[in-house]
Amino acid sequence: MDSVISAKGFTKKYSKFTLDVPELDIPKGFATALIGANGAGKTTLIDALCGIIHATSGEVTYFNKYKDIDSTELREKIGYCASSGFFPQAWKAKDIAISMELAYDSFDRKKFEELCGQLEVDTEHTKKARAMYKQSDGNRMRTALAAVFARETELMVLDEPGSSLDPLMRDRLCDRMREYLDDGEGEKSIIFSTHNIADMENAADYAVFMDAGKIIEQGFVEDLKEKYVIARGESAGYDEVKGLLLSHNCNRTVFDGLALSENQEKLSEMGAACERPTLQQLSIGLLKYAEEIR
Amino acid sequence: MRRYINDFRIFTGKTALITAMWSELAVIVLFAALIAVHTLTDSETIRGFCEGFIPMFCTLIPIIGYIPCNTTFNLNRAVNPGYKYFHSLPDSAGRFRRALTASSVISLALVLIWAGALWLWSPTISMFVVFMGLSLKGTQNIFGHAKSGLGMFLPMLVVISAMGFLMGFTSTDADSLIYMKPEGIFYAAPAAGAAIFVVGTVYSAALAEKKWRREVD
Repeated sequence: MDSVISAKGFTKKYSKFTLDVPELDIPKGFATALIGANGAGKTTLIDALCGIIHATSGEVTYFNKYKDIDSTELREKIGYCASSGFFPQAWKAKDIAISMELAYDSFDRKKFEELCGQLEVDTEHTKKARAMYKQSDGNRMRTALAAVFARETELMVLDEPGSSLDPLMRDRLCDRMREYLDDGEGEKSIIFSTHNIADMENAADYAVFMDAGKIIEQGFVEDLKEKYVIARGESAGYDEVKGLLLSHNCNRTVFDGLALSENQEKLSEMGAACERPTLQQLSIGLLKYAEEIR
Repeated sequence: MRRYINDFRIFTGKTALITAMWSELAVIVLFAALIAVHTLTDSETIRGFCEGFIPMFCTLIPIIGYIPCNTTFNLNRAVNPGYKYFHSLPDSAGRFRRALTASSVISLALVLIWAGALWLWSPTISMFVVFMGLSLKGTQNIFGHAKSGLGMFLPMLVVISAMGFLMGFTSTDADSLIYMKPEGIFYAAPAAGAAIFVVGTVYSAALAEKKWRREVD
């Protein structure tokens, strides 16, 4: 598997939080979702990988070639978009176009105009265009996404791109991300973070689950769906299967929980029905499990 | 030079330059109006008002020069929206250094254009403007990397107070500042301002990349 980013011994220490990633390989040509609760370290990881903050220790290799994130050539290849307040609040679309055109060789001002139109936000030619602070969070995110997609990049890193968007726009974003990957023919990759995977499930090929600054699980979504099962049954049998469940919900009548597929046979013998999990169920199950053993 | 100006525009977009230009225009209009009133009126009261008000008004001129650079400094603060965008740019630290240098030169140009025009009317006032403009810019460059907003603001107040003190110290009841001939201290003050400006600009440029990288940690 070719990696777009591989990291070893990667840490970022703050006084009250430590990001600790002993090993991370983000596959090339796919969309990778960083999934975790608030404060899990998704943004810290993204910011450290993109050079917005500096890692305390560790080595990162980008595109199997670059080691230094400050390399101008490397930064041209990465399209980064923060979760909020990406651009200065006083800026309008024209300021963004001017700044990005000067900063990046590959920024296509015409494409930015088109994307702004498609995403229904002010373009640089909109009469009485509004500054960022006068726009909603969703519109600010749309403008930032239009700006970042208007560049020719090989890796898109999007921090919580869907959190401020409405469901329809999240769906469009997923389509846009798919188009980006298809255009790249295996050469382009996406990393995005989310704590609400339900609406962006279709966009993720590879998933990295994080909790309290650590990676608790990672792999291709299809492989993870094979690795785990959702077990369901009547609450009467709950005590018997409890030991095989990683995380569980139980009420007076029924229970369900996440378990390893290798235990599927035993679970069936105990009367539990097993089914393939969705990414959403997988996320909740794994994050609950991580929280319990933390 | 073009590279420096472009890097400044990367950080400020169109907004900061437009704000500076509108502010400049507003000051020009008000200033011209005051001078016209001062020249045309026969009333001693109004002339006195103008003579008192014009030197105070001069403090606005260097502050206009202060705006673009202040904007640039502020962008390197994690609390301000936009800092992640700027930190994600290729060669962002180098660009920050060049943008700061360019903003200092723009400030200098704004001050000198005004001082040149004022010289025709009152050389003394012109010298004060040069002193304050350059000292303010130089001081801002020295303290601009301070993390605290107060750390940036206090030196500015000291410079403005110094100008007020200098004006009060040199003017007499008999002779308005406007008509005084520039000599002695009037030449020393701009020279001191120029020295502060040069030191501040070199210092801030030398420290810019280091501060840019450290800020994010």
